[in-house]
Amino acid sequence: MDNLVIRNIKKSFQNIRALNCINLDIERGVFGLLGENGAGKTTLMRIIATVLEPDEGEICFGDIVWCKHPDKVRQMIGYLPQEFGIFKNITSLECMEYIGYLKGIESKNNVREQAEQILKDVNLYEYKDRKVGTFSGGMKRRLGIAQALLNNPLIIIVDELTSGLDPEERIHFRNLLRILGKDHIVLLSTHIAADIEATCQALAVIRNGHAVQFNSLAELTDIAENKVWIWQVDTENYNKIDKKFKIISTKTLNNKIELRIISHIKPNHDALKAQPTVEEGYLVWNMEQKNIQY
Amino acid sequence: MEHGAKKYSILIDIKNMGIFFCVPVIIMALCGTYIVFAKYEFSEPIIMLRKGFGIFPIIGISIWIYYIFEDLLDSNGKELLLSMPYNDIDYGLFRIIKLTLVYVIMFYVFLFAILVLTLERNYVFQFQDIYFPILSIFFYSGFSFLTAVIAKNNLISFTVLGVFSVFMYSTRGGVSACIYPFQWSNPNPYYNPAIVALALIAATAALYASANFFFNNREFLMK
Repeated sequence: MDNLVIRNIKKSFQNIRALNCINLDIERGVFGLLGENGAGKTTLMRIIATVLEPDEGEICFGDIVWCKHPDKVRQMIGYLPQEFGIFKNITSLECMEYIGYLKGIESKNNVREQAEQILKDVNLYEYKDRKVGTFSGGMKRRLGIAQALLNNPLIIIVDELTSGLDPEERIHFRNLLRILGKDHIVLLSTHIAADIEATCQALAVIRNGHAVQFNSLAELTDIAENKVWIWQVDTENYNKIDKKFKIISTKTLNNKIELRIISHIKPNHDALKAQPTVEEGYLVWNMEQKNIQY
Repeated sequence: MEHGAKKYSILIDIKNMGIFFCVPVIIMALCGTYIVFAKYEFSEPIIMLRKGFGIFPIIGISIWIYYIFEDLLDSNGKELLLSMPYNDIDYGLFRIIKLTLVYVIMFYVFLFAILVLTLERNYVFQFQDIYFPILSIFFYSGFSFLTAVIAKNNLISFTVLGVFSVFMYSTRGGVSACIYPFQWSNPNPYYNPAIVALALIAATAALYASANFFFNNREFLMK
């Protein structure tokens, strides 16, 4: 399978530069785009989904070039944007069939067959005759994923996968994305590092319109190596420590609080070195980019 | 390249409009009821028919046009639809024309029903009673298509539609170079009906072409 190659993509809105020379080389599997809100993730997703055109640069997948063959691109992508607020007055099955036809599935039987099977895969089959407008946020998200899978796209683009999903659904979708990543290129944009950690093999971090690619999660977590500490403290000492160190998370134990701290030095002789997570790697990377002392 | 939207039934579009599909039907039913019950209030029955059925039932097509495009132009999920491989002409212009034809058929079904219910009034028809409603409905269809794709907001579109219609009706199209969609119901005596008909055809073609030009630009629709 070819790689999705993104070269020198730039995009501005009026005088604001949203993307500044993005270069990525994405292999089959689940690829994460991690960044703060407003970093440019959604703009990049929209460009890949052909909804926006870049000011400069190009995107290729084998012989298919985005600016030259937008219709071919649209036939090989499945896109789930952040919001799925459409088709409120028709049933989920009708919605799937409608989108199936828009995606170019030829036969009516084929559309129905695919739509029903995918609705089963995302646990919506029992609601196939219910109007989309009556769905909860999580159900709409599931329907959104379902429509993205119609016509077996080569590239699946998911913007903020777990927003609006309860913990059980989140786990279900993370598993689903991992399975899809075996045969597809799945692009997952999120500001939740746990989603990346649970699903992705590689990622790019976007900040202020610039992207840095990490070909494995370990490349990012290694940035925080020897900088993450676990420290159990008394509850009364917590406030003092909070002002002095960058606390990432807390866990309440019996009479103590267990802290995870980012610090370039050991914060206390009782503190123990911890294995960094993707989130911690991202935070350290981000702090270094912003020249924040820690 | 084949596109699925070509084969797709307009029925699902109608269903997706929800209650807004029924609004023009209700308008026609109310106008028809008024004509049937007030049939002796006008000395000339054809004038009654034109006045009673030549305004709101004509403009009603705009409701269908605005709501058939609501998901694509004025919704939280429009970028999903904009990422689909639909053919711009099939999914835009042809869809509008099909919907307008359905509306025209419905319009004449209601008109026929009114005639049957008021047969004793002995209507004297002119040829323009056949073609002017069709031309006016298509004109409003093109006007609504254009305002929908430019405004991308139903509230703004309805406001523009309302202001335009009130202005046209109250001035009898006096400043519109014969482009006058109410020539059937509220005729301008200085206009030649054939010229108005040609002007409406030309204006409708221009409206459809301009609307489709904007419709082809997905980035513009996304804004």
